[in-house]
Amino acid sequence: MEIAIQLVIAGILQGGLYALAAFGLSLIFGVSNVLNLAHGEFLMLGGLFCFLIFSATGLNPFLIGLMILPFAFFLGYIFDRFLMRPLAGKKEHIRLMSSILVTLGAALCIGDVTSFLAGAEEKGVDYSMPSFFWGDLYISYLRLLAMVMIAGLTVGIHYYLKKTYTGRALRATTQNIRGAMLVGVDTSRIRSVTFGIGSMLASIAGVFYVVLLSISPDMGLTVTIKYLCIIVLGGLGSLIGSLVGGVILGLTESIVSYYNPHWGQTAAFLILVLILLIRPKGLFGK
Amino acid sequence: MNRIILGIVLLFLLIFPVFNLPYLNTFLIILFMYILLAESYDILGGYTGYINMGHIAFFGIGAYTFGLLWNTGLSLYLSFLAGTLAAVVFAILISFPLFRLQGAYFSLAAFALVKLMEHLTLNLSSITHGSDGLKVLEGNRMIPMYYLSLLLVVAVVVVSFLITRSRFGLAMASVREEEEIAFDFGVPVQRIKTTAMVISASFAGLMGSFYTWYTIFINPSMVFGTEMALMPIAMAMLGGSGVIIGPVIGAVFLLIVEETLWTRFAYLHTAAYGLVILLVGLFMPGGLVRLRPVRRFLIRVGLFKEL
Amino acid sequence: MLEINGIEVFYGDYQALFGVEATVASAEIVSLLGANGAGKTTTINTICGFIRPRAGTIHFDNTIIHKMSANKIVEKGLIQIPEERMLFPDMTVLENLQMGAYLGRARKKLADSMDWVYGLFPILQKRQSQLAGTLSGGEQQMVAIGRGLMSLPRLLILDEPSLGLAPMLVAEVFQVIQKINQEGVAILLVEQNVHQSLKISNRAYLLENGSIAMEGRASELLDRDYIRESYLGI
Repeated sequence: MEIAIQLVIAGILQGGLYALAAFGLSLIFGVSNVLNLAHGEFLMLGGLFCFLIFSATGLNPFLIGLMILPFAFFLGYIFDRFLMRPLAGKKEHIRLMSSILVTLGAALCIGDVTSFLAGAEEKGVDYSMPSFFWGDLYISYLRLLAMVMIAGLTVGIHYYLKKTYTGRALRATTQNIRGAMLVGVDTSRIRSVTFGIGSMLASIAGVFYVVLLSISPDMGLTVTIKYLCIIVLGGLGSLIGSLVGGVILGLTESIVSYYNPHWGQTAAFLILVLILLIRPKGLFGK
Repeated sequence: MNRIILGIVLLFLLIFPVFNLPYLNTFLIILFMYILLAESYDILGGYTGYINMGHIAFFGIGAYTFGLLWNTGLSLYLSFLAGTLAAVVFAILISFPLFRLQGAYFSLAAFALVKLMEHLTLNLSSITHGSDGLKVLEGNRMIPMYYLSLLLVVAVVVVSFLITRSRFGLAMASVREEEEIAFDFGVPVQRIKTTAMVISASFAGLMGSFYTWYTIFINPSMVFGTEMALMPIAMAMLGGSGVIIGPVIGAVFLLIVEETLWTRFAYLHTAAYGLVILLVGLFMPGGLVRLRPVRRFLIRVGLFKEL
Repeated sequence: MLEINGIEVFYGDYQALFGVEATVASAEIVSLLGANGAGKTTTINTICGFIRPRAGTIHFDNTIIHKMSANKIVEKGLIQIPEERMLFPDMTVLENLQMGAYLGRARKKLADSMDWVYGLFPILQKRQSQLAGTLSGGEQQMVAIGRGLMSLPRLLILDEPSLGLAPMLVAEVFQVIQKINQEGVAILLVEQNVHQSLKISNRAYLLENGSIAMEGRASELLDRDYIRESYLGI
């Protein structure tokens, strides 16, 4: 029983982490119809900078994560401004193809430059916090903190999208871009802002990765693909979809891996394919 | 004009092994493989507009089926046939659920299938030997492989050409432009898409079989890896999706760029390679062949066949 | 207030508008009439900044707007209510209306304009927490008009507001347009419902094959034989 609870907790944490990064990707897809294959690079960069600053200063890595947020936003913003905006006026089919090329090229580029400058090896921040027993349950403060932060962020994003004007403009752009323009939304700016937010969420996820797991410069495409799968599973553009999709994948991985470590990933993809066969537009898609 | 050019190129490629240049010969075999993958991808991706990010699954399935069966002692030709058939059967099976999806959903679900195949081949190690990879009987197969892959490239180009001239091709284009309207006008949309996928898969599956036979050794990341999956698609888009010669030019261009960078630069060749892909995507939407001067030249020599 | 001077619009090689000239003065209701494909929607999409004219100028309040982006034009108080309505289907009626007051100027007066809109369309208040995508066609049209009003228009462009509505609702929509006009909002009305729109308009333009074929006071046009025969079927 304890083992079961431990597994579920681990799975939910893993899933929350997935959801965090996946949601940024989902927002970007909703607003600009772009499959951003470079999303994982933003995650990797967030983790990497956290690692570098931590190595130099020894500050609390989550605090570092907070400090690099503005830079992450800026990075995402200019990524859209200079690489994506020129494609915005093109025909749908052409734009989908061009955006695949541009983001794939950017992903290869960022990954390789990073591994050249910072070394190709895996990196992790060795930061620990005390653990405690709750009854028979072994609970690590670090994981608990991560979970609380992820939950807080999810609620935060939800309110941002519901209550702020920019958040609403973002949803409006997703639902009807022409309608958004008609009420005076600068949709190009909203696109760039969305990329900024996506990059921020990815970099926070990167910080969690580097603290709880590890990062390496060539991880980008692999995690991007996983997040793309999660948002398809949950339904593109749906916050609750990304969350549920992430948690389903996280739980599957953690439970199956307990019985056979090799089969965790396989089971995750198997579940994904099965769900898509039953619900072609994802769990919460329309 | 176009016949003369194609004739000269083909003749040159036919007598090329006579010069006995092993390095270039190997390069050409790899080039043929990529041309075939890009061109066969484009039968579905370029003509019906369904960007199949899972195209490499057919290649990998062909590769493993061939390897496994040939190792059991099945005859070579039957093994090739089985590799192709396996890819075709897989295409038929997945086409029904997959084609209920559209746009990005389709692309990503197809890609998830590749990842699923990669993990399955890794984990079903009692059959596939997992990450240790699969070995088949050794032998020097440079020359036969050269001609086989050349033949296959010619075949896929000819098939593409025939498609663009047929009613079937017209129906594919109608699916790409306005699927719902095409459906309303009585175009059998599902059958068109499935057929396109089967043609596309058969070439990839056969090439997968050849590949195993040629390299002697395969492992999951060689045939199902992320970059292996994305490169042929990038080549087709980069050259010009929907134009017969587009994927050919894209594959030649990207492979030459890659080869040059790998030999010239000790570091950062992947970065430079990525940069080239990025710049083409940014400044040449529609691909190299749709650049005005290139396009004009191709039209003049009669090689710009578009669907 | 709005001055359109000789605009020429092309889609690729196909020319859609040939030197269209038109004006709307403040507090006026002006109709833009014409058959399907005459260029009405092209004209208003050009005014609203979605299409760039190849030649000609458009001034609004003496500023050039034909080079501005769509959102900048909205900021100046030139608001379009499109034929397709273009609501945000997964937002509630209330959120849709609030989105209308997205820009700073309108945001400050949000409460007042909300009262105004609910005064014109009391049903929207009852529906305010319903998702816009689930409303009936007539209610969606009301949300679309309401959302436009929330932006505090100085000139309101309505594209086929009566299209697809039941006759009862059509009459109501035309009444509402007059009420809005009485608040001092100039109106450019694009309609196929020639009779109704001429009755409430001050002036009108008739577009045929991408150029202005006829213009004048609405009451005069109502009497012209050509209009009566071709558009009113009398």
